[in-house]
Amino acid sequence: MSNNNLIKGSLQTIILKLLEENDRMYGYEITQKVKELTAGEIKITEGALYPALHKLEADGLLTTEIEQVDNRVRKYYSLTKDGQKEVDNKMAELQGFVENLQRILNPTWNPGLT
Amino acid sequence: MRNLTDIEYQAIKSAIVRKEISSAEILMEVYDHYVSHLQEYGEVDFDDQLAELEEKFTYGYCHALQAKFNKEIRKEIGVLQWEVVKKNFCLSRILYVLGFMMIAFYLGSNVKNEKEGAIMMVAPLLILSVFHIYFLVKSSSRIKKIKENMSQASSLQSSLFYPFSERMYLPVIMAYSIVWFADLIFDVQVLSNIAPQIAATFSILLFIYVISLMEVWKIKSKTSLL
Repeated sequence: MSNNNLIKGSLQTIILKLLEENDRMYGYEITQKVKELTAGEIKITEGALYPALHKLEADGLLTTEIEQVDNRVRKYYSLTKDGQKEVDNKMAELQGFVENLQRILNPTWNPGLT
Repeated sequence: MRNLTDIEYQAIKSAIVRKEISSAEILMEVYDHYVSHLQEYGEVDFDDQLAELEEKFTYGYCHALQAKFNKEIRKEIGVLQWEVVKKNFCLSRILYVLGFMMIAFYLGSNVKNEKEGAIMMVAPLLILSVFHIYFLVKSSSRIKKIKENMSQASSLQSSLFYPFSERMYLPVIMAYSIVWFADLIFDVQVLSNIAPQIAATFSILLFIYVISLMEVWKIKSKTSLL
């Protein structure tokens, strides 16, 4: 089953959370990290990743650094102060959504008992 | 991870140049993605993996990505400049701004004819002209290396270049119109009386605009190819 549609809505949260834990990352590294953490179950497509990164940068949640690596320029992304604040909001929002989804999928589920 | 051969690098560059990307930021990001990905695979898999990347980074995708990025950049520069302008009215800076306004209005009160008024209004543009030359030299030197590396035609430019250039030309056009209408202002009796104050106001507005644009460039030049 393709996870793409499920991931779309939470891509920004995934990026922000990864950058909170990894200080700074470049595009390809983010795709690889997600692949590694989910044992290949979730693959972030480049088609969605780069527009999301650029959007977060334009919204002031990410800042970039340009660095020379071998014979090429690499663009590293990291969180701004606003981005750091936004991680908590986005995480709470996503966790709330997951809990609500659980209630719908499994009405007997009670988060307090897990 | 392995080091790619010169032939492999050439194959990647050719594939990317064919996409006719004009944004240096997008071009370098796509190039870095290609190289980082292909370094993970052996020489045997190179062609297959390159073909796979080509399916993801199609001509259409790259141009859509570039268009979106350019749009976001334009928006970002506008927001950033407005934030910088607002900072001038914060408690820590307001004294400088008030001091500058007092000087401008004092000089304005000594304006005797339309020529002096016009000179006062366009004075901030001298700073802008010097900044523009510095901006052109600096941005072209940063892009030059990438153009050489990618053997790319002259169309390659930072995505921030045009939004910045437009913002630099805007006050020039505005000032040109003001100078053009200066005679008209001084000819009308009512306007003539307040012409020195009009000149001082325009001078202040232009000065704040130019300084804020320079600050935005200073911020963005640290994190982009500008």
